Amino acid sequence: MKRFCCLLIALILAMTIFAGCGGAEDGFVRDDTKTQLLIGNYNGGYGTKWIRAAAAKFEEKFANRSFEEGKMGVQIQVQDGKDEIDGSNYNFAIDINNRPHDIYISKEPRSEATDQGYVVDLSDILKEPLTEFGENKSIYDKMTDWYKENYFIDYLLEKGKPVYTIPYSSAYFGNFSYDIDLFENSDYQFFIKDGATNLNDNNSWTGADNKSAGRDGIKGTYDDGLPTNETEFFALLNRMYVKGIIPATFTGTYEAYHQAWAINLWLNSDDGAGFSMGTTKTGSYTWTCGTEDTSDDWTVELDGTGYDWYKLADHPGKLEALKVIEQFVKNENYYSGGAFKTSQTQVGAQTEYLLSVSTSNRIGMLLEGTWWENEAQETFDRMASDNPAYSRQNRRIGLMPTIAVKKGNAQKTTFLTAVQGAYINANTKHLDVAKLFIKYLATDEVANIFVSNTNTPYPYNVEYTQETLDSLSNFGKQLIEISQNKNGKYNFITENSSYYIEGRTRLGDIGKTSGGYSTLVGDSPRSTTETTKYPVTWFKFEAHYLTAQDYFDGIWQLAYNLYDRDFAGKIIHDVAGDYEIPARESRG
Amino acid sequence: MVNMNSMRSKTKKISTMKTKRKSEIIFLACLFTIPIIHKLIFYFGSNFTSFGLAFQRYDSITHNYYFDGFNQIKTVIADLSTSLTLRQSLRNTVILYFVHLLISTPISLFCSYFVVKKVPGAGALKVIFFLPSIVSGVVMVLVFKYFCEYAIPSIAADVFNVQKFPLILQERGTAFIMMIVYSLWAGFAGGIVLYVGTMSKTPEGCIEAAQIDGVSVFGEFWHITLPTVWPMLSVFLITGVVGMFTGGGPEYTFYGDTAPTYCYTMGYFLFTRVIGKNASPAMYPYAAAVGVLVTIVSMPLTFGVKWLTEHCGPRED
Repeated sequence: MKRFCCLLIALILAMTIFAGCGGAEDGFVRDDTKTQLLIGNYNGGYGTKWIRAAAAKFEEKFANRSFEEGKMGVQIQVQDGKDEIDGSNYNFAIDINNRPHDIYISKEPRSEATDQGYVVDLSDILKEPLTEFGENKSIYDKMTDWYKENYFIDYLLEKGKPVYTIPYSSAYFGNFSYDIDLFENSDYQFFIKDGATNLNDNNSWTGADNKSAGRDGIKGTYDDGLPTNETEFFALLNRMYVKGIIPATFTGTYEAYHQAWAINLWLNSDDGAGFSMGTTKTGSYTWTCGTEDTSDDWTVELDGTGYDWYKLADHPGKLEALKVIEQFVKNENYYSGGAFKTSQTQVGAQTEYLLSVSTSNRIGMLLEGTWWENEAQETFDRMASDNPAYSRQNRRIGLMPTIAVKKGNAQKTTFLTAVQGAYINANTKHLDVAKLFIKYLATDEVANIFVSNTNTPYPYNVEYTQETLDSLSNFGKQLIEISQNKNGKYNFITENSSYYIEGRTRLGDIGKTSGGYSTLVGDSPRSTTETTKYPVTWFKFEAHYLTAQDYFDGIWQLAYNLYDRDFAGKIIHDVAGDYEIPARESRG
Repeated sequence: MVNMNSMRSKTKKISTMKTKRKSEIIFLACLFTIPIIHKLIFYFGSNFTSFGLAFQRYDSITHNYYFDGFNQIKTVIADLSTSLTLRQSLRNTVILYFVHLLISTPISLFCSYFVVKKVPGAGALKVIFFLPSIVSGVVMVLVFKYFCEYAIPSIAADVFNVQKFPLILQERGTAFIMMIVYSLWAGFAGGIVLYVGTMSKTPEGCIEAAQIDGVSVFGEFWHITLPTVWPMLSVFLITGVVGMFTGGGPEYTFYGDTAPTYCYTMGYFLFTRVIGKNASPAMYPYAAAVGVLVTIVSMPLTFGVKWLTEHCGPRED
């Protein structure tokens, strides 16, 4: 009996070796009478439904067109993945040419992939009208201005430089989502009243009526009643705490989420102008502190070579952002017990937030990317089965714009925008079909498919059908309102535009890829290896006694050390002639 | 005639033996070719290139590596005195090694001994110790995380009325200790399998004779069982030194690329320099230089430990 049990257990364990085997994914049955197109889809917050629906429509459209001799129509297989097809993953970038996929719907490819010629240049199709799909405009015509600006599309086309991806999603990252019903509830009243001056006074707060204009200064928009600066923000958090509401939660597993908030705070100090300097690499920029006292103004001049990025390291907006972060993190009353737990993933945080509505530990806000509502569909469905009021359609969630620090000069609300792209593997055997599909992704039809499936704005100037708009949740509607930017009061800054500019790798660790928060730790002022780049966890766990000023001083110190180590005095051999990178200037 | 026949049969025998030998050689060649090629490429080849990297630097402008002499090694040596992260990694690695050596190994030996002696509960002990090695490491880490972040605070609140229990997997004073606790718990089973097998081979006659002479349980372990397992134990001790400076705990499974610096071990430090979101080709020469220095230090140590185990350890005779 014992032997039999052991044998049985051994057999069961042995069966697990077949876990990797299997038939076609999702019951896909290959039809060799059709041209095959394989798409690698990054199955993150946007899921996979939208791309499969778009693929099905594409197949339908071209069912009677031959792309290959002896074959009629196209058959598209969508393979979902995550890290293994993440464009920002170094191991994927250097291996793209060995992958079987024709198209990737993923995070944009790193320079290691594009420099090696592993990704197809799409500049030739950017200005072709989408006539195959019944539209007169081209991809370029439909691209939003902010995307063209962030990705230097005009510059690239003018110079005849390659454009490797087209965008398919634009989500806002590092903002708080909040419960509108909670804020409006007469017992709580978490909206700021129009004309309020003393936020310690209960009369300065309101529920649904007479809200302040919010950051955009216009009444009747999504941000009415929400805090505009750090004073109002902390007043709100304190009020929530006093009223027995846990102000916020977020994931402790992934630092990227609260890092995005840190970046947003910095961007919203000056409409992202200082941040953008890191991409333009040239010009002069003055950060004004927003008061008549100009002694705190800060000016930087970049020489256009791209090697003097260290000058951007001590942007004053970062210091102001760090002060907000420090104040937030060091007060444990502002966030839930789950917030910093390593076991609380982003899905765990979403669940904690959503489920709290029916508990005595109600949480007011969730720090996330705007794709979170799509990711939490299962939780919404589960809650709705008990109470329809908790369904995604019925539950009123709103987006809180990031505050503008008072010591700054922000005129608009800036959103750190996460863009993902579609690009073609240079190894594809069906380049014409792949390009056609890329063009299809820019059509209104796909835009509506995407938006109705994900509640996320599409980064093109498109016409959404009434059906699509009606299908959106309250949160989705707010995102569309923001993306359409009818009042011109919003600013969209992406983190990855540096990939598309020559010399992008010069930006190094201090550039945009780390959000500019890499700082020295420890007691080695000349070190280049002692770094952290996550101020939120730093203040929480590693630096109880350090201040925002200490962190900020470490930022520029590290930048200077790296410059001294890697660039100062080096000779650059350029087609225009040899150039010696000058020694670092002293800090002004 | 007889001689011719015997010569013919001898020749036939030799020929058969040669054919058989040839078949054996072909069989062995087929069996070993791939492992040898694998070893040449993935061990010798990769170590050779890795060694070469230690004397190069990465140019972030041209994306190429250039010969840089001993500068990387000098940087590492300088960092040993100035770099908090490197010093912390080294310190944690050494702590982890001695914890395994002084706590985990003796406990494994004693537990194996009790299993062999079939003390009551030995079967349950076997299951408890083997479970971490059967269940996926990621699952074990997840269970441990939930235990530390939910169960312990809950017990602290309900039983001891401690309302704000610290996040022991994140706090500076406790995070690395929890790594050690987890390593101990998950690492027991490794040696037990081999120890139990070897201890089972202890001659029964010796044990009976010792028992007749009135030896205690501990005495039997010290004088009979330990010498029996000593050859295998010494292999563990020697290989432990070899891997001491490049090994690590479960930091990557716990924290991914973003472990707090006070949890770093040398293995984690080097791993995250070359793999993962924070890795960069610019760090490869630095990591290679660390590897070279570690080899220079651990080589004499390893030989020293080998000499000690050969000359100072217990013997079966």
